[in-house]
Amino acid sequence: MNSSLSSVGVVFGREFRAYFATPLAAIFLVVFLALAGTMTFFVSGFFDRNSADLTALFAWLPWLFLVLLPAIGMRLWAEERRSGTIELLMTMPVKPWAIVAGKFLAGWAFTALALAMTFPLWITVNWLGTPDNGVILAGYLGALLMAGAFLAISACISALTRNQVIAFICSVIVTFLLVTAGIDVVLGGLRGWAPYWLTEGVAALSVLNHFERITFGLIEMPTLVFFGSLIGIALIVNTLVVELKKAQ
Amino acid sequence: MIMERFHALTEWVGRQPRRRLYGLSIALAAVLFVSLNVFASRALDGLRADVTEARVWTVSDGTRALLTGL
Repeated sequence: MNSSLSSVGVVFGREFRAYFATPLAAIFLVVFLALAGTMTFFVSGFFDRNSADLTALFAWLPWLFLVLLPAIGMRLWAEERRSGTIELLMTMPVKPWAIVAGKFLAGWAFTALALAMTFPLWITVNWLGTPDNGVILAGYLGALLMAGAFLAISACISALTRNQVIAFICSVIVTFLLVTAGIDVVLGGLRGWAPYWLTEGVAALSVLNHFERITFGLIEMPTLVFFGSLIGIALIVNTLVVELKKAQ
Repeated sequence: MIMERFHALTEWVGRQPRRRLYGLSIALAAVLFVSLNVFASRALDGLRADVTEARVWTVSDGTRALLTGL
């Protein structure tokens, strides 16, 4: 068990360093921070609302993550397969689950770094007024969980194909479905013909609904189970896919 | 009996083409995900932490006492 955990650490270190070996990390961080700042202060009319909080940032995060996280996740496995390093990786004395976990944790840590770099927004709202910092912290926790879920799904899809573009498009479609399942347009359309339990079921599986509740400052157990199960199951399927590819 | 069935199942899985196994894993994962969340929404509903500074999602002791007295 200890050797497997140290293998996770080794894979984590290799993957995390790989982000900074290319301009990918810098491009991602610049694009993410520029979009987050623009959406928070200008698109959402931060100064017109006359309210010092980060509601606007958290309202836009699911849509930013929808595009940016598949861009991180698409390369996790597809790049290894395209460049042929997957064979090398699979012949190493490391269990597939340790590789999956290491790669995922590296991507998640990188996303956490990007989120942490939005701290000037937090300082700004604290300078302008007296926001509820408990709500802001809960929002960041929710954002981290949502990022983990999107990344786990993208990594799983990336393991299924060697083409990064296909991995990216499929990941965007799946995460888009998970986000939009809870919006009024979809639920309103469903209410017209679908039974009540189906409408409620679809709403309960929406990332947006669960994330919104956390951003209100309410951390609920079903929400933690939702994100935890989404991450856990996507990683299990990812490991199964890698094991199957290795076996066949 | 259970072990025999398990061996039969693993042999059957071993004979399946890779694409079918991917499909099966994804379908099983979806069922597991939905079941787990249905269970959590029913069994764990109400287990929550109110992290707002003013505890806006928590019924105060005064309100609780008032409601109890009704």
